[in-house]
Amino acid sequence: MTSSTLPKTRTPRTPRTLRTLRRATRSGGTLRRQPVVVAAIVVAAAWIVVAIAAPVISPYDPLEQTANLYSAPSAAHPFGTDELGRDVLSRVLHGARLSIPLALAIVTCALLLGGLLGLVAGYVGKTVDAVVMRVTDLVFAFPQIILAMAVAAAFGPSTANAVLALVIVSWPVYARVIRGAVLTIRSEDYLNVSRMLGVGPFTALRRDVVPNSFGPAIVLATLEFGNAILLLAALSFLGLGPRPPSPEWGAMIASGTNDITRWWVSLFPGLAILTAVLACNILGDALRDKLDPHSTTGR
Amino acid sequence: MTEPLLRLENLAVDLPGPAGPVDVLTDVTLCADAGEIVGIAGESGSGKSMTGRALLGLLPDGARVRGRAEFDGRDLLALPARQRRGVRGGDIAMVFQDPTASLHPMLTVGTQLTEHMRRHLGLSKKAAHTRAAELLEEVRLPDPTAALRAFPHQFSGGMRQRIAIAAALAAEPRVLVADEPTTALDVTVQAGILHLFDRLARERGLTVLFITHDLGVLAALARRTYVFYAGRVAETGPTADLLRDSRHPYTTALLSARPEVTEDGRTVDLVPIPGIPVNAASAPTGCPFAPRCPDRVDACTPVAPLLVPVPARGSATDPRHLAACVVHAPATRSTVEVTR
Amino acid sequence: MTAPTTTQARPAVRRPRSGGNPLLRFLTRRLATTIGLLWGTTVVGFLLVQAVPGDPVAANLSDAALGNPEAVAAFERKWGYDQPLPVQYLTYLGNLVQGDLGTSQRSGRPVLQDLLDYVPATLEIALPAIVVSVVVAVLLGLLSAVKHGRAPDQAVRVVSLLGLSTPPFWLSLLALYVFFYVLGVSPNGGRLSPQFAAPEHVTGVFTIDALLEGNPLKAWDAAQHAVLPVLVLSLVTIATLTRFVRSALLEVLRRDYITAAHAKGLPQRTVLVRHLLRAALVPIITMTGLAFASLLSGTVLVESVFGWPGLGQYAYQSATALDRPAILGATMFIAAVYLTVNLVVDLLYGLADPRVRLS
Repeated sequence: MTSSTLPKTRTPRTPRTLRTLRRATRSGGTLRRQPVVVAAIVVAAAWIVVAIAAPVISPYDPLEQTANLYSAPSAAHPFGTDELGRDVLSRVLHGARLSIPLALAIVTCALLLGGLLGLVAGYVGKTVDAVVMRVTDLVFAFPQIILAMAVAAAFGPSTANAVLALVIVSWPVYARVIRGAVLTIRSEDYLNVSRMLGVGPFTALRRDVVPNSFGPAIVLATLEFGNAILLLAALSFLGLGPRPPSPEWGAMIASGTNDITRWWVSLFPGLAILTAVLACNILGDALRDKLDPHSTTGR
Repeated sequence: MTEPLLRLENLAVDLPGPAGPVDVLTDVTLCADAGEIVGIAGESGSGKSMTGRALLGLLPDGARVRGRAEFDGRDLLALPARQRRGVRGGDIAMVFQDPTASLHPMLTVGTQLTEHMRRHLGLSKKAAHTRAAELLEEVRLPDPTAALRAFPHQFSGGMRQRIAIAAALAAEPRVLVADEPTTALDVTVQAGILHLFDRLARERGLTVLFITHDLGVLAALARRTYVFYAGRVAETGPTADLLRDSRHPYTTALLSARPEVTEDGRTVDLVPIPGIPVNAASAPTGCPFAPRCPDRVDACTPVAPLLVPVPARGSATDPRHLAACVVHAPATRSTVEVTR
Repeated sequence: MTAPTTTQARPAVRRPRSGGNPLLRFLTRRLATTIGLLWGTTVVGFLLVQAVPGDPVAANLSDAALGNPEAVAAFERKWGYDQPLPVQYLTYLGNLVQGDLGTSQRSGRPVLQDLLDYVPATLEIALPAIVVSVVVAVLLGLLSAVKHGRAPDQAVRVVSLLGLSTPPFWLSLLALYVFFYVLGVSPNGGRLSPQFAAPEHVTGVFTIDALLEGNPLKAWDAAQHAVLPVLVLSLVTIATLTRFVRSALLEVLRRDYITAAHAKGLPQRTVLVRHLLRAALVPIITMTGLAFASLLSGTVLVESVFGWPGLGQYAYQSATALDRPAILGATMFIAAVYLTVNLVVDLLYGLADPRVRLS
């Protein structure tokens, strides 16, 4: 009996995640009812807008040095100026233009690399799984910032190398989570039913496994976005990220250590990081409650 | 006539839900005498477990309880929290379904037996340990003294349940609520546990509320049984009467849904009940079984039927046999008078 | 070897009782895994060394040494730069095992020696920080789990989210600014006030050494200097830990044995301590290992701001100066410490859970 005699099988069920997302975002959905989550969405959106519109909304050129060194916040410079007379507000706004796209790049690459490996490991199992697990164990043997620091230092400090270092450091988390999701799906019956009905392994992977892994993946990606921003700031604080005079938030805080009395130089970049990462964490948590309630993913 | 030790009257429980409170128990009236084993039968969602928990005050946060729950003349629901806690374990105890889950994996058997024993009975450590060993002997656990120092995972499922039962008995309660105590056990082990309950009830005068989905188990064990459906009592009476002469269509259907082999070796096919079981929350107004009931009439839907004595069929009908069905146990003036 | 012919003779091989002590088996497995991972980290370290672009000689030797052809030759010989790659790795591994983590470009001293000098200072803040973090996180997690969904729970969740989102180096600056510059209650970084000389080296931990020296004033001064770094390190670690503790406790709260404990009429306090915490002890112990990683990372970002001469500051200064041997050496060292701590944590886990301890 060939598979062509069987009726064309449809995906046994709508991926849990899509159903939940649809339900949650319909008008009056539960996501909207929590003010904290709404605030987080607003903040996240605001930062994205800033990242895009920074050149337009910045009052000054972030790289322009003036003679007005270390001036406290005033009407002309709401966030003050730094040790080279540059406007801190403009630099903070342009910092978003660096951090957010870079974090996006890091998360995307790590998700693709880690997700793919996790998918294969969970689906194929046996040796492939064992190898992937051992490699992730190895990366986990290093505290994240330490390894990122080592990699970035080894390759030489630059924006590209910082991104590379962070991708190397973060892909295992995705691999573990996706693999876990795949194993859970494998243990559920609808996949077995699919295969019994003659659906080929790749199609089953595409139609059953992947869509149902979206939930944990989305949650993780949101949380990791914030983590990427933090790690990127840490690397540039250590001098291993985007080179000066790039207005990276972490580097700006580092320059503030020279003179702590000029509090505005460090305060505002730090607040930028705090608000952006907090928004990601709140959103990630909210998404986890909806899409992946009993999970032990990530932090 | 002696007053029943336990009496639940019009007990109703609702739990908080996403769209407002959800009824899980409605108008439950139940009683049990000292030393009696009473069965509570029903499917998942029927409210049978909730009844046990309501009695013990172990309902989830936000639950609201109405009605009366009388134990030895006192209304438990009206007691302040502290006294309620004293009743728990000391007067009314509970045995749970899965002994692997209900025994703490990191505390010794001895600790789990003595910790509340001392609190309720005021015993010294030594006396408590002696009592604990005696209890383990009573539940027929081999080598009680060694068992006290051991951990639950070192025992088999059946033995773990015996330990759980001993723990429940530790503070000398008068009522034991057993929530599906044999469901998680192998069939071969079940018989032993049932024997144990029977013996305990006889030897200690223990009142047992035996909650289960398996009517067959109650046939041997429980003198009287309550059949629950969708948070209400559908039928109640002496277990033998229920099995022999069930009146409520749900009970009848439940009995037919068991595969049987008759005495002459013929197999009787099980007849499944159409539709899916309903919990109190999604029950329609009126009789909750109506949508699935083969004997449904128009009068079934508007108002839930009252639990009243069934019409007599010859002299064999027991006056304690009640059913909530307008068709098979219509509420006439006289029947309503009797139940009041 | 012939089998013994008499019953009194001892058997040639002692048969283990029912598979041997389970705890021992568990530990052996974990030890094997740890050793495997340690070896794996050496591979990673070697790859990183190889990844350094450009001339390894220039990248690794200090300017002074570069001018000395003998030093250059010695360096090339020691690390086997003229050999094929696998041999280089073995040389690298051999050197590592002997404790040679390379020589710092900045100090010219062996990296391992530098690190050992800096470790006690980190211990002086890391140990109090981990103790404080675990205690506070357990208390907060307990509060949060028991009052699940209500106001205290929300508050704890918000605070821990805040802690997770705060860059530690920024928090350090803020703390210094507020407590030193504005409030004047804290010293301005460093380990001791200028009027005190470092105490005689016994442990390297100034508070202890000063006491041993018989100088309580100095010890008090050292302790005061440690407060802010410990505070900042703790805050960040508490944020991470509280969430774990909370979810572990919530997981346990759902279990039947907690309901059973309530059914016995035990008071809330007894249930919380003897039943809840006891069951959650295992995941909490495991989390302490993770907290330690967070702490180690934290020192890198926190110590330099406070001018605290510990491991973290060493790593930080090495990073900013691009002292590659020091960076890589410090990385390997920290990874080894982290793996060892996790092994110890696993040992505690094995002891705490009777299901592992007994068959």
